[in-house]
Amino acid sequence: MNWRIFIIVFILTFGISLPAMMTLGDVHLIGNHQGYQPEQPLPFSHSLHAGQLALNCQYCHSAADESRHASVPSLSTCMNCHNLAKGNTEFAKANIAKIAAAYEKGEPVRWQRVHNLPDFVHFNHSAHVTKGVDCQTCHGNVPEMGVMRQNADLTMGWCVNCHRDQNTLGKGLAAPTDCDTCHH
Amino acid sequence: MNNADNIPVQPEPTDDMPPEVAAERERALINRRRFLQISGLAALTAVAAGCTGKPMAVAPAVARSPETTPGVAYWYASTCQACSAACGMLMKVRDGRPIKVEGNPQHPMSRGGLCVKGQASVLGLYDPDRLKAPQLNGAPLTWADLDKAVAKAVRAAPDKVRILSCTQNGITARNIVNEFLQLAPGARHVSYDAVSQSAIAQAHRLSHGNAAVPRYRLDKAAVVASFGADFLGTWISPVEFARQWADARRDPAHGFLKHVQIEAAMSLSGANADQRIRLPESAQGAALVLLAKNLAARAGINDPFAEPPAGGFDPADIAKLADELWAARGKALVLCGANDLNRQLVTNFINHVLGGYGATLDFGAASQQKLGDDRELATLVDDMEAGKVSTLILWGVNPAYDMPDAARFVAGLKKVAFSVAISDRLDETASLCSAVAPDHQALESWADFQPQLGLHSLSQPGIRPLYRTRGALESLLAWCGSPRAGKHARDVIREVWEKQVLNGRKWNDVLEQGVLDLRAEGVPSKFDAAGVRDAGAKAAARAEATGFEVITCESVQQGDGRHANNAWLQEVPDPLSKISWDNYAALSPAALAKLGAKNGDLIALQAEVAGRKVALELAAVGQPGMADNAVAIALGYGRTHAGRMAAANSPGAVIGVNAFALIGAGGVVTATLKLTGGKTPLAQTQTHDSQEGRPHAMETTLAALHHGGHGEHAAHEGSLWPGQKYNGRRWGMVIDLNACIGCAGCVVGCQAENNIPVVGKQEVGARREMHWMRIDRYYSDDKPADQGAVADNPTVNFQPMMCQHCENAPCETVCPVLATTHSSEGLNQQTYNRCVGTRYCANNCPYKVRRFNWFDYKHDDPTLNLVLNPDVTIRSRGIMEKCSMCVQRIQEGKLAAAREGRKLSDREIRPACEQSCPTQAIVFGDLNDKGSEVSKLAASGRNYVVLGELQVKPVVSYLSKVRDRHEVQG
Repeated sequence: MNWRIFIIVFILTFGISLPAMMTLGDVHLIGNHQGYQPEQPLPFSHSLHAGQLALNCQYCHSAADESRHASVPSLSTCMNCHNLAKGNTEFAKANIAKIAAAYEKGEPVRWQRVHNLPDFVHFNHSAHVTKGVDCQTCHGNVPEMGVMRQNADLTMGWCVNCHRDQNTLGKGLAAPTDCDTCHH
Repeated sequence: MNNADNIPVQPEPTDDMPPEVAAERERALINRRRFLQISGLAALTAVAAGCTGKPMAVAPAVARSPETTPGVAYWYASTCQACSAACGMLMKVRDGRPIKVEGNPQHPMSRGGLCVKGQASVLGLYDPDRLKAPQLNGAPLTWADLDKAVAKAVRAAPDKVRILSCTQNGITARNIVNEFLQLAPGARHVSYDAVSQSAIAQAHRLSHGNAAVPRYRLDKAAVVASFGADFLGTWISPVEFARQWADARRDPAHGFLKHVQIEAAMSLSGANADQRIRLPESAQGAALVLLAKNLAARAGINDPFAEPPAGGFDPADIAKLADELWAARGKALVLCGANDLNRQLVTNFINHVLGGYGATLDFGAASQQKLGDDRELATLVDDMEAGKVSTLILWGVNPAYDMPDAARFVAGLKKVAFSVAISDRLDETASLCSAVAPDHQALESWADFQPQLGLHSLSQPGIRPLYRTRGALESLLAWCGSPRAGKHARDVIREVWEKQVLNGRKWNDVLEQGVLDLRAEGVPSKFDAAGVRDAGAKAAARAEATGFEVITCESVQQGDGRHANNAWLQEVPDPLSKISWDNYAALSPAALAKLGAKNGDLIALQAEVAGRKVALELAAVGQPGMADNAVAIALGYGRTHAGRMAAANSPGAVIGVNAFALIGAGGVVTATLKLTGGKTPLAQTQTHDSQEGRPHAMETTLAALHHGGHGEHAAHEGSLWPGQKYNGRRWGMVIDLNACIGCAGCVVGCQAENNIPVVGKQEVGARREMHWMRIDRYYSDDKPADQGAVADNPTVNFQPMMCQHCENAPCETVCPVLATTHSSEGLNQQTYNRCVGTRYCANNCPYKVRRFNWFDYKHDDPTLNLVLNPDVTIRSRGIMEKCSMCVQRIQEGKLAAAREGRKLSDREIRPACEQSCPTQAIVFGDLNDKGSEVSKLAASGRNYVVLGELQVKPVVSYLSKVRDRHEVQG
């Protein structure tokens, strides 16, 4: 009796589930959100703004060099340009009009957060930006992303590897590897 | 000792189980069941779906503020309003909400320190039991409607309007009250303080023609003798006094302020004094008169006093004190804490003979911190009873709770046609009033203060009002029909300041500093000895004592009771008894034994106070240092209408008993005590009082220090451990026990900074308090032969104790999952997400400073979550935690220096405990930098480490306490 159940479970686990997990591309360890690309309330395109228009990342993400947050721009930052740039296509016009309307009404846009670290990790953007770490090092080739996607896996191993490399490969950035650098 | 193993983690439900524990138990059971139900399925779906987690929205501000950046904290200067001392305060505002308050280092009075109540005041902002809208006859209404109702009542009979307020010393507050009184002719303003010092001003009116409380200057004193004034703990301006006291004793090589305390109940000041004379309250007047006679004899002036009755004290002690004071004349100061005109008059005579006026007592910058006038209050109550008051405006006071004869006030209030309370909650008084006008909390309000003449201090908001409240100043303007009605309080204050004090200075500059110091030293006024003789006779007279003398005192953590709903202040233990969440009747251990009582036994107290019969029932506690015929009870407890915390979270229950009824009219109150046979559990965080002869909290004498001795510090050499190498910095801390007064400001400062949960009375009783730092309090015996038994009048030592960040840390070697490890800068790191809760580390810690989360200590109202520091992880159940040396501040400081491309300067990084310390007893810094302050202190002869023989090599070290007396004790 019991050995039959055991065989069924064994086949389900090792015969079907594991091969399926290994062949599917979108399977990760728990907590690893690499490739996360949520749908946003507005079709904002990084490839247009950061790519074609070559806006500096920090024009919008202005807190990146002084705060732990890079900060998501306020509508007032959008309106700096979109007061004049009202869009060339119907699609753009319609969406830019939505921004203007929200700004007039004083209603913030509820963007979907792409990069979520657990609460027990205290990552600080300014620590990295002021040391000259490029945004792309972690965020990937944002100027080619239409919809923003999590590029790196943002696991602790990934963080620590880079920190260790700074110290051992002679890159000259003293990157601490103490636990309490991030965990406090 | 409780045995932790006997306490079940999920106790069986009982009828008397506090609701928070029952709820937690229920939650835990449900969670466990639910977990088993869904765990298998959830794990599979999480993997299959790529585990994207819960989506999170980000809603950035619509318009970017040019002044603030998300995630960056900003500091704004303001004034602490936790008591009437009005210390300078800085608010840390992060993403639009105040999350921490600290002392303002620019403030000339408090100089960066803040007491335990001030540190906790940020929690009061988010108090869910605050009133959220104005009320009339119990129903909410709009401000406009309330204003109409109040204005109508004021206009109906302006001469029958009375304003009863707590001490209001700001120039704008006074300006507005004056306008009110002009627009309502015949109206009167009465000030009163729950814990009154009205006799000091009255005595100075008689002796100096100046009805003022002088500014006491310990910074100019060489000897201070205090008769029952707890100036380090609660008296008038404790933060200011504590700093002056500590500075005058910090470097024994350059002068040492000698401190003699004469008192009946053990106070923080008595615990820290060089010499403590245990003297019943009834003998203090006689002792003062004898001291005055002794000094008059030395001064060779005419002695107006008759010989005081003997008994209760040794005349030789008083003669010796007189010698010391006389030798330091011009630099001597005598304080008297009694709200008794006669004793205050004798004190004035003493200070006059000692040449104190103009030196250690100053009228130029007279204290404005206690302006209450008991006689005017008595007149007001008489008027209320006689129906001469038709409209009563109560402003920041709670007389139905804190007046000794509250019943009479309540009866009088019923005869008042219309009463309106400017209060932050529906407290004992507001709930009896016709209308309630909820005031802003201190961190939401514009206000000004003048704690000393010429010292102007501003309060600005750190957040927009959370609820539909309005500042008291704006309310008063609206009700008197002022042309300024409807104006923003900020503009009103600014106009008054422009006119009266700014004198060309820029408003924004002053606002940024938070304080404007225009104090001047006064010329000593002439002393009028008439009436002193009579006062001396009355002060020295002793009624035949029957029963116990009752001493009512403010506790360091609760003060007058206005913070009863502040859970941080309920949980922080009393500095001396180490009891939290309660008040009690403190008796000397001998008296306790004589009554046949043990700690926690209920006693019935009966007294007749000024014609009133008072009966209370409360727990008896043996408090070494108490006079044998005295019973001391802390005020500020027994709040019935403060909110859910003051009711221990179970409706109907009240924490402690209200002792205000025991305050007499100057004389000594006596009571009879009887055991009831009942018992009450006490939540005490330290139950062993003796150091058992071991050198933990060490002390030495001034004389020994001058002869090169620093106390016995055994050298410990040789270790099995290879030792650590610190190539860069090595963080360390030195705590000067000579400066530490045990006030617990650091404990609450740490709690605010590090999101330390409150666990409640039952859990404190089960030894599960979560404070990362505690202050150990030891009693040392006068007689070394009797070790174990505490002396009648013991030496008290305080020792702040937190993680010692050992180099050879015993906790690190036993952690099976490497959750606690050593950092390259010498810190012992606790990584919460690695911890699995074996508790091996806590068991292996010789200092017992690790804390385990037995539950998830969630706030029961989400508003309180706003106080949390986003830089510190919230710990969940089953996790070990402990002092991190405020590593988030270390990271922030290092980062700021790196961002600005400069070196980190010494003392730039200040852990919360160091920052909060009113006496600057704690110094943190880099031990590898030989020039740093901490390195210099670590090299001091007084430096030692606790439990040095264990070779764990802590980086926290201590400087032994120095007392000016003959023999080393303990």
